[in-house]
Amino acid sequence: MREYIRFLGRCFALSFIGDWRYRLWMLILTGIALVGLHSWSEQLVHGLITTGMTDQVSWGLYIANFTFLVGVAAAAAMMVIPVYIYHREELHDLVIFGELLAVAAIIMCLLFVTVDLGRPDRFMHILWRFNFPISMLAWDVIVLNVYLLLNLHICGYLIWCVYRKKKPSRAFYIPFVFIASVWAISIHTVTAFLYVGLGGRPFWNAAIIAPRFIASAFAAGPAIMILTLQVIRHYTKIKVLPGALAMLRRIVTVSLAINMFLLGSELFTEFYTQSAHVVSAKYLYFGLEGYSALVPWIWVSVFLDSLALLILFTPGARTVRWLNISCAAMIVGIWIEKGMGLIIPGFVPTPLGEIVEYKPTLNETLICLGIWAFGALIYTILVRVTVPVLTGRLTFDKDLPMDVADSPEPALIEKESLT
Amino acid sequence: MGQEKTSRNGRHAAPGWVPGWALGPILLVLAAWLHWGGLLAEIPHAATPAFDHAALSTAPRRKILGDPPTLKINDFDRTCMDCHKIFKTPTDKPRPLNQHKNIHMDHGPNVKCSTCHDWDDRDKLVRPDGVSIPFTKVVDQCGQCHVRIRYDWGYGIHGRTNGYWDPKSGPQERRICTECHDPHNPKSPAMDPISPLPGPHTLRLTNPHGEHDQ
Amino acid sequence: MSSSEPKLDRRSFFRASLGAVGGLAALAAALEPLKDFDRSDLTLDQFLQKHYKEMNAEDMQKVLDRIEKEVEKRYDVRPEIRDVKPRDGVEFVYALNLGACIGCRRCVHACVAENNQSRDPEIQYIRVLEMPRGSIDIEEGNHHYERPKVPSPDHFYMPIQCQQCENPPCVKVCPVEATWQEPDGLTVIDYDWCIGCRYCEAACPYWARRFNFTEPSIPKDDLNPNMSYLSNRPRKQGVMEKCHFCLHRTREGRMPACLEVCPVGARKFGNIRDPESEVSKILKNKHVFVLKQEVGTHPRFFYYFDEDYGPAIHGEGR
Repeated sequence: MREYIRFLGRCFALSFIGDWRYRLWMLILTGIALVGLHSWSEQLVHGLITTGMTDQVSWGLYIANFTFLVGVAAAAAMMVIPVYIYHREELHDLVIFGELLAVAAIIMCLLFVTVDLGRPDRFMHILWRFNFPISMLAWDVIVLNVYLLLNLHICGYLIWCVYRKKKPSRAFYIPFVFIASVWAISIHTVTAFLYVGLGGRPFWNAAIIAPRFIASAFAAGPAIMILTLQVIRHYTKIKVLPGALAMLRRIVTVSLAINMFLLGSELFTEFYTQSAHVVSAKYLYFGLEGYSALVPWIWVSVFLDSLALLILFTPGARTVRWLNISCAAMIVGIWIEKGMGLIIPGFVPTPLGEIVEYKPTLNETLICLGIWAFGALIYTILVRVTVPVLTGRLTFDKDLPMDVADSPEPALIEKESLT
Repeated sequence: MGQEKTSRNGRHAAPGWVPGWALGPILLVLAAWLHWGGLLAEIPHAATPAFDHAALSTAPRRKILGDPPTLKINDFDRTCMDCHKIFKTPTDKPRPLNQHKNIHMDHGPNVKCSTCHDWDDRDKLVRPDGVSIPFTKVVDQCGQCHVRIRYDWGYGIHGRTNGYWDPKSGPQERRICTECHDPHNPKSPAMDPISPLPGPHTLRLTNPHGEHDQ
Repeated sequence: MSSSEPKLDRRSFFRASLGAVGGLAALAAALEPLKDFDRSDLTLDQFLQKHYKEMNAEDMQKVLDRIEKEVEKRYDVRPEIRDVKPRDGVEFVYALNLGACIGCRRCVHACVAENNQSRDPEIQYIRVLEMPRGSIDIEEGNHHYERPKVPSPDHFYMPIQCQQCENPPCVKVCPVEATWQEPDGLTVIDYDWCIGCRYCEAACPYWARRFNFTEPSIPKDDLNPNMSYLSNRPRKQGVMEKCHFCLHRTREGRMPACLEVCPVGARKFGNIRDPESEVSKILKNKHVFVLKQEVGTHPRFFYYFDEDYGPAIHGEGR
């Protein structure tokens, strides 16, 4: 136990050590997180009136980000399946970065829910009276927290074992890995069911929402992984083989293709029949009675997703650079379509037909940026600790590595082509 | 301290943009900015405008005159028969009146006073079937023509019931016809258009051109 | 090979402590707005307060005493606050005559006066829609009509408030059971239990629920001191509220405030279990319907068109 506390202490110290780029990155993130904390303090004092939410649009940017990040957390565990089921053992090490991303993403989700609550001081009420199994929010609380614990256990156990130079016992983590990969699907499906179960909101009360959630999550999550793995490869000694990126690329391509197909299905269903249910979709894609704040957003999202898919399908665009462009476009496109493009139109018009548009306030935006920065901070620290452990530079019998690990020659990476 | 910073090419890197000692002061600057009024939240307002709360009175629309109805004439309370015992009106055909000029007749086919008023005893009303009734029993008179409304009124469906829904807990205040309807012009005041009270004042409501409504 | 542990020399100590001071100062500045935080809600009593359904009479009395003190301190008015229980054999139903309603909004403001809603930002439980003739599609309704006189000849008016559904979606979704249905059919909220997640507001098909986005502001002179725990006691920032059929009045046999003020008697209220009540007669004799029947909520709020009193047919009054 004392060893473990010492280990945690060393991790804490290690997170302050790095070159100037690392320190600048951490400083910026810390600054943004503190600004977000300041904005949240304002919100605690004055209430949610500091946000752009109203009785008409009662969920906004917080829940939008929450929805997106649950998807990212779910998909991060996706990498488990090819590694353990198809036995691509050389990708073994990379699973842990996916799990760590899941941890950071879930923490961000929990923070987004906390800042969205009107009375966060009453959070413990959920322990005394729990509306399980009827309320989907009760399900969500359980699945998200258990998922966090699963991932913390898997990563924590593996890193602790490598730190101790012991071989990890398979019984202690393999079952959890499989549970986590199945649980990943459940967290995102339960989150989808939060919206699907509301009969009074026809824009959400559709069976296609849950499959679309999974498809878009498994596009955006691995896309984030592709980008962060390249950062890790650039700055550390961890070997990220082209095969890993190729596998992720395949996952992303299939998922995005399915997502676009489901988008097409949704558009047809909404607009062909022209029933009353179409009003929210009309507001989103074309504007309604002069109100059209979301129209540019959703079309940008459709364009970015289509561009991303086009790049992935183009035989000539197989380099890493094109892959990165596609991933960046996809992440932004899916963030828009899952966040602003799903949550806000569900509230416009209201069930009584009133149209009140939503625009996030500065305070709200700063809190969101603060939470994103905090999540990035968590992920950076987790990676900062994991990499030296995995490369053997930080073990229980060694001192803290004071200099930054050398990375392979950059020139080799850029020219690599993916098959 | 001698931290060796090596770049990828093996050269000693320049200290870079952020030397280690600068982290603390930069955070202090951030602290100062937040403390001295940086980023205060903007609180919008959408208040109910003031209106005359007399509009929320639950009093009946019309004041009825009592039974028998009395009027103040030269500071004396006079009943109908006080005048009409002396002044026998010659005919009940519709004609311009010298008295009762404030009465505006608009009751459909009812144009003669004697349709409802007992010609021999002006302190009473007369039902269509000829029975003389006091003014407080006007419901029976109206109800002989307006049968469905009378039936609904009896069950509380027409008109308003103030007080208690549970008669065992307290009294139910029912209104008789003339407390809402002017018997000579029944559409008024029950069906007179009235000024509505203020509409909803919604937070962050914009019109389609993006301007705030309040 | 391995490098040495950081030596604790003066320079590194100075740097580290400067960093720590800077970090702590920034953290303190970030949390500074909390000095204005209203801590009156964060007492140990409130933290330990049980859910309404778990409180016995003694617990409830303590809570009512606390609320009384708070209200008196804040509004200089001594309230009469009690916990009104439902009656046996009573199930409340509301019926509204759309042929009579003239859209004057007196019900809206009588409700606000009775139930101590916030005036800024404005909270109103009842929303009156001005509907064009020929449609009961709520999407066509105008919420913000302003006319010199109502009714307008080409429209009819539909007030909408909580429908006290038999199958309430809001009760289904609340994660902490802060809202539930009582035996007399009313869906109520324990304002001291709600965590403000607003899932119920998203779930309601009739947009009947309201949230306190900030501390409600009620002018002292307008406070209604006749209060009950589940209905019209002043709420706090961050909790939900909605129409509760004036249960502090109706559970004692009285009519709700919106009904008493209606100038045309369009609103009808009573106990559906009593076959002689006004509402039983209406449901038996009139062509009643409910809103959004396809959503399956089974509302206890019925609308019907009786005789048409519109000036278009009968002409203007005097």
